[in-house]
Amino acid sequence: MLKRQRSVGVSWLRPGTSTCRAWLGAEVSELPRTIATAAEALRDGRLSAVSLTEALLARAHAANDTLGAFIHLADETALAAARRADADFAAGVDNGPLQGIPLAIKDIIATEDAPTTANSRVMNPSWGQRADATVMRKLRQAGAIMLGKTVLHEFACGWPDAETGFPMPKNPWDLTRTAGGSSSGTGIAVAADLAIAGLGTDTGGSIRGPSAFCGLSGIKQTFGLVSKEGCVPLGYSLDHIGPMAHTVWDCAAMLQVLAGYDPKDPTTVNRPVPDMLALMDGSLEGVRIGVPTEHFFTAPALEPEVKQGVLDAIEAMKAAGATVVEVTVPLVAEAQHALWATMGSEALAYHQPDLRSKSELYGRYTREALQVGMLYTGADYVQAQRVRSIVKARCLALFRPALGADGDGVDVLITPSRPTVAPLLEGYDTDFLFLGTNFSGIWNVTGQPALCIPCGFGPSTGMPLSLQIVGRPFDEPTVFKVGDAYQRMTDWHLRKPAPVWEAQPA
Amino acid sequence: MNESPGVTVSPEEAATAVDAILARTEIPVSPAERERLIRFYPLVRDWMEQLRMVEARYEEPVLIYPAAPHD
Repeated sequence: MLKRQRSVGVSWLRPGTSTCRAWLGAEVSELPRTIATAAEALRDGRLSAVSLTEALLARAHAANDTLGAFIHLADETALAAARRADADFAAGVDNGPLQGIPLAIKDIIATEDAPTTANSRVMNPSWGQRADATVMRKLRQAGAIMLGKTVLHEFACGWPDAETGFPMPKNPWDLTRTAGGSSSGTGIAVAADLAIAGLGTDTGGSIRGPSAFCGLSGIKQTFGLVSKEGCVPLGYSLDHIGPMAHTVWDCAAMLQVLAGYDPKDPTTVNRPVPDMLALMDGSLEGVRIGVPTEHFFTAPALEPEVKQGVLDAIEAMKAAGATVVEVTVPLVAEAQHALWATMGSEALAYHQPDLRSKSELYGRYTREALQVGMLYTGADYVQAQRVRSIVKARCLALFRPALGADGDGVDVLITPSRPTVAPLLEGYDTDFLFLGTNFSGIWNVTGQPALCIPCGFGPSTGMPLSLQIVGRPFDEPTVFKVGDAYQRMTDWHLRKPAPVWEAQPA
Repeated sequence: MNESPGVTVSPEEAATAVDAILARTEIPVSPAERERLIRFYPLVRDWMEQLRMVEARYEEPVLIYPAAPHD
């Protein structure tokens, strides 16, 4: 625990960035939207954690019927945590940038002060009465405030089913469109400024999808960097818990807290956690960007507006000093098949007892998705893991050993996050989950870090466009460096949808 | 390169296989869900045949966890 420093001396405060300036010039009544700006306001006395939390809770209550972001709002415990954060500030205790920051938590992550439903009638309520998940414990130790538990696709798969009785999530940019999934509620809450940032989970793209569709930054970090303990599993060897926020800097600040070995999760890796903010200097000089044209830019499902938005962003990075080279990501189809074999089998292992005894309690689309897991054999599962070894090795061969190292490998790959902007809510079919074009799942198969950031808005739809930055395992600092440099050049990540809460009666 | 000669599954074979799977797993499904699984079965078999890559013949599975005891 650190003694409080004056704000000008707090090493992690980000001086003179466009993110900070955007809010510092505004009225105090306009709440900060990012961790960086809120942290600064909390330290220079323009804002208290209690007033920030109260304001966000009021917005969330006003907007939730319309947006379907939260399953549970933790008014009392959130305000109690805010009072503790303010007391720490007053006592000169500074636990870092998350102190006093209200966060939205996907309701598949255990929290001791709120039930955990996994957005399902199937979930055993007593499971949700357990202690905090490791990630929650870390966030609270850093002074963060659990504002509420957010809507998700049931058990992090399928698609929302109104018949289950849970809130139906809607995209703040267009209420007729999906917010993406499965971390829908966190995406909605952050995009609609009902929370400053939040946690999602990602097994095949569930952090990156909502981040892309809602205009946010979100990272699925390297597998093994963050503990999954206390999270209802979907695919044990594919699952990740990670941050969703407006800016890359905020994601990095959250990941700094979340990362680290956890003896309660045998898949975490015991190695030093790097300084996630260390390389964010705004420069792209010397960075080698790989552009995998085949599949990622040629898939028939890729919308021209999405493609153009990502290509424009790559061009901007090139103009800023990056070297751009074309590469081919190998075994894309095989990786996708391995993903479904792995996820289907691992999910079925968890859900089979409940699918036998209370199948009717699952939402239709969740049940349909889980049933496909029955079609895989044990040998299929093991073969998928053997193919993963090959996919992983071949993908890593595209990269050079480190930023600045010799060789013609790349430092990051850039792809579209999703082939389309957020689709309409109507007309979903479970077949799409398995047969649709996917740019994200391969990185769950290889375990590499993948960050999504906004890169524009579709001219015909007005919906957010998004690109994906993929890096070397455990080299999140380079991924953040590239994403942050782009955000210093643009303001896509700072744009906001019309505030829903203002349209609600008091 | 693939070490499998490929797979062809007729609708009748798919129905027989799916019914056997349902009997083994003891998971109840509606008629529409059964039809969907029958439709997916040949796809999944084809996908898995594509994973029978020659170079995977002697490959180790990824993600072998360390043999550490639980707390």
